[in-house]
Amino acid sequence: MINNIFKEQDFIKDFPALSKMIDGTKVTYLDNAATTLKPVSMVNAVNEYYLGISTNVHRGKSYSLEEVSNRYEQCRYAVAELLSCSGNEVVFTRNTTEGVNLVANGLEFDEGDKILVSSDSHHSNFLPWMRQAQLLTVRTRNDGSLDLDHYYELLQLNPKLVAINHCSNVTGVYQPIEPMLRAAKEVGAITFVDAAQSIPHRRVNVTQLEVDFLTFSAHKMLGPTGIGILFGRQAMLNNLQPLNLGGGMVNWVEKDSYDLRKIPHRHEAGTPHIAGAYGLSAAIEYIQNLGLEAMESHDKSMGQHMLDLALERDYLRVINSAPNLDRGAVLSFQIPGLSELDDIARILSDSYGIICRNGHLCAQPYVDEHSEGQVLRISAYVYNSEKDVSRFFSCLDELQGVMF
Amino acid sequence: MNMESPVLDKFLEEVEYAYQNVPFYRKALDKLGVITGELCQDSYQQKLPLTDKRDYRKNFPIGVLAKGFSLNHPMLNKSQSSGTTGERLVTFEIGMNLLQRAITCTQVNPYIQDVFTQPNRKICRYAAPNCSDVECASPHSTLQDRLLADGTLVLPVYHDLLTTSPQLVDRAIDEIEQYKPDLFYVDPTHFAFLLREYKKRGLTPPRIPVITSYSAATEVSKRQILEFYPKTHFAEFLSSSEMGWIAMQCPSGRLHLNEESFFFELLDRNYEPAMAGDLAQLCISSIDQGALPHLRYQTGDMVTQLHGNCECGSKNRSIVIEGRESNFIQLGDGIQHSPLSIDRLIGAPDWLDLYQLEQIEHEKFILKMIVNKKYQAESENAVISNLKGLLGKSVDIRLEVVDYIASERSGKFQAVKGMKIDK
Ligand SMILES: Cc1ncc(COP(=O)(O)O)c(C=O)c1O
Ligand SMILES: [Zn+2]
Repeated sequence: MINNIFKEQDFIKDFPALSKMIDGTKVTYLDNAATTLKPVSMVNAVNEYYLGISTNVHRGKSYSLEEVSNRYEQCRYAVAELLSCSGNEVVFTRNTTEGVNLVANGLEFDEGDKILVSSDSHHSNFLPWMRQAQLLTVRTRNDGSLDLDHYYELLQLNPKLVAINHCSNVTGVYQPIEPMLRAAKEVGAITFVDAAQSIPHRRVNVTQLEVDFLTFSAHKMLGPTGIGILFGRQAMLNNLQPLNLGGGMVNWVEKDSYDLRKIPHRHEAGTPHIAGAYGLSAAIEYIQNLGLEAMESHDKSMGQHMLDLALERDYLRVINSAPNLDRGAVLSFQIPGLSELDDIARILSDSYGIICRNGHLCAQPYVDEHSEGQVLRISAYVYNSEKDVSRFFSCLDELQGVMF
Repeated sequence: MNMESPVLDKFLEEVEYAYQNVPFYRKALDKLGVITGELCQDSYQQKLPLTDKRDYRKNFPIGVLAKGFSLNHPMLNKSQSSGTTGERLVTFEIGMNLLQRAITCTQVNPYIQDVFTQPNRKICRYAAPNCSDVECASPHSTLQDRLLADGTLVLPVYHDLLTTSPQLVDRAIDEIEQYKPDLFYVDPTHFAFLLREYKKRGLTPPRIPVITSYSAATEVSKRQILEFYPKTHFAEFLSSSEMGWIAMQCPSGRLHLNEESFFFELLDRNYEPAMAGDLAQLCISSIDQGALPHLRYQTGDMVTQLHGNCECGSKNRSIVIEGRESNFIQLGDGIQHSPLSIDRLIGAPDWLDLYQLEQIEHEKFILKMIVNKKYQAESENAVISNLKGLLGKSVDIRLEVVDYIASERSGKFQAVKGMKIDK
């Protein structure tokens, strides 16, 4: 047994990485918000493609090509099922970042158009918009929480697009996207959700949300790197200019014109990450077997446990410790007096086998505002238990005596 | 077994014809030491091998084409199954033979036969496109592109049926209006989808006979078709790309085998002749000495023969189609339930438009439902208790009310999906 919620699951068997050692110490992996570990079944699925007759997809008539295309398309259906959308609303991308860029570059923005973003966004859900139009940025309060009143105020300025960060990769706090999206639609905005940190933990039903686009990465949910998903409503995907042109996305080409293939294929130019789709299918299957409801309770209880332990320690300051927020298993804090945490992170890993993250976490404007320098972040996933988190804090306690 | 000897004679002649003209059979029978001239009613089942799709795919064309035919022979028609990989198959047959098979098949349903055999009658087909997902149903194909030589207009639809765009539905509806067909030749799930789209637009489809094939008509699809069409206008039939028309429903509602054009065997799990009422695989042999003879071809379709004679007067055996073996529900104790038996339990409640029951594990199912305005919370309780009555009280059936259910990659829609068994 590794944790209370997934009593039956043999994570040690499923995740070889959990048995890896760093200088004789077993690894405690707490950097899941960056990317999760990978289960054997996922890697086997990837291998199945590469070690099989590894043809391309949708380009010809051979038997194996059909088989490969089937597996590739079945992954699309599995994603559609996960999100409760339709198969042609699922575009394969490289990652979350590409999903944002496809939309930012594929929509037409005119002089004077405004885009509403949050100041706690990941750079991926920030920079692509910055280049396209004037940004309206939702403030955060002093405690680090998003100022939702300000969000609703800014909506009155009629942004063309609203880009919401569903769950912060710094604080693990989830935003109430349902009313936020509804309000954005009421002012006629196109709605976009960065779900990189939420889809891995919770069921998100896009039919029940007023969301036009939503994006996430496979590698943060047990899948391979190099493949991600952009969900877009049919009408939206049809109106989006394809970012990349080339093979696989046209019906017919003449010397001076071409005719785009139906969605979603028009947004997938070039040979895609086929093995990645095999792997993503296996990852989704793994997640479905664990059960998204159980994953959500795990996410919440781990998040609470992290916060509880952090608040007991006065040598650190949690970024956004506001009570009564919906939070998941991600927590960042600063250590007052230490603006540089490279050494701590190095010692945690080399001497204790604990892998976590330090820095500005690709959300520099937010981290700069709420911390005097770098932060340390821990983030858990299904195979982590409360013990892992407790161990992290007791190691930190040890270091406190000698380092700060 | 109810076997009339003229059919048996024709079958034995077909064996001789195949042996003389088709390399695949000559090799196979020589290898087994079969002497065709000595075959008779009592011995053919022991001596002659059964064949399946793989044989015809692997040996196509040189091995399976009869002497004297080539693929560009002017009398040949090409048909291609909508399946992919393990299911896919290309078949060629003499156009006249296929037509003759269709005509004898409709004999049990004079109303359909009249329409079908009218000179210059026009047919609209609405079913899974038989090409890969990406290339087909390009919204830019014209009506002319999809018009077949026999007067059939293939209507445009996407591979993944429920993703068919409103524009493409509009186009199908416009084309029907323009083409003025005499007969709909459709997949029942696809057609029920189209009828829902007609309804949404406040339109009505033309009042012409509807024959459904490709996949079994579920009770909910039938209910939606019968909302627009009187019973006399609607008949299910069984056809396949390799054989053509195999069986048709008579006005009394029974599905009669086309015993004028084929030699049928209903075989149980041990490949012995099955009794009426028992689960059997439908095996078919051609008897018209065509370009691509089939002997003892295992269709993979599981059927049961109905008892007794039909009131319509046809002497041909009648069957019900239980579903493909790979789609049977597998319970832990080795008991299987056919897609048909599940569909009967689900029935045709007026709030349900489309469903899919998928078995995940022996005791674990997901029931997805696309519902209409008549649906209220807990409408499904009766359905669930019916299912639990059959599958066991303790099974876990996860319910999901959804807007979308993916089609199979073949483009067909599978309402009941049994658990995949690892081979
Ligand atoms: C909230 C959020 N958005 C976007 C990203 C970028 O994801 P990727 O690097 O897979 O494109 C991340 C990953 O760190 C993230 O946490
Ligand atoms: Zn009858």
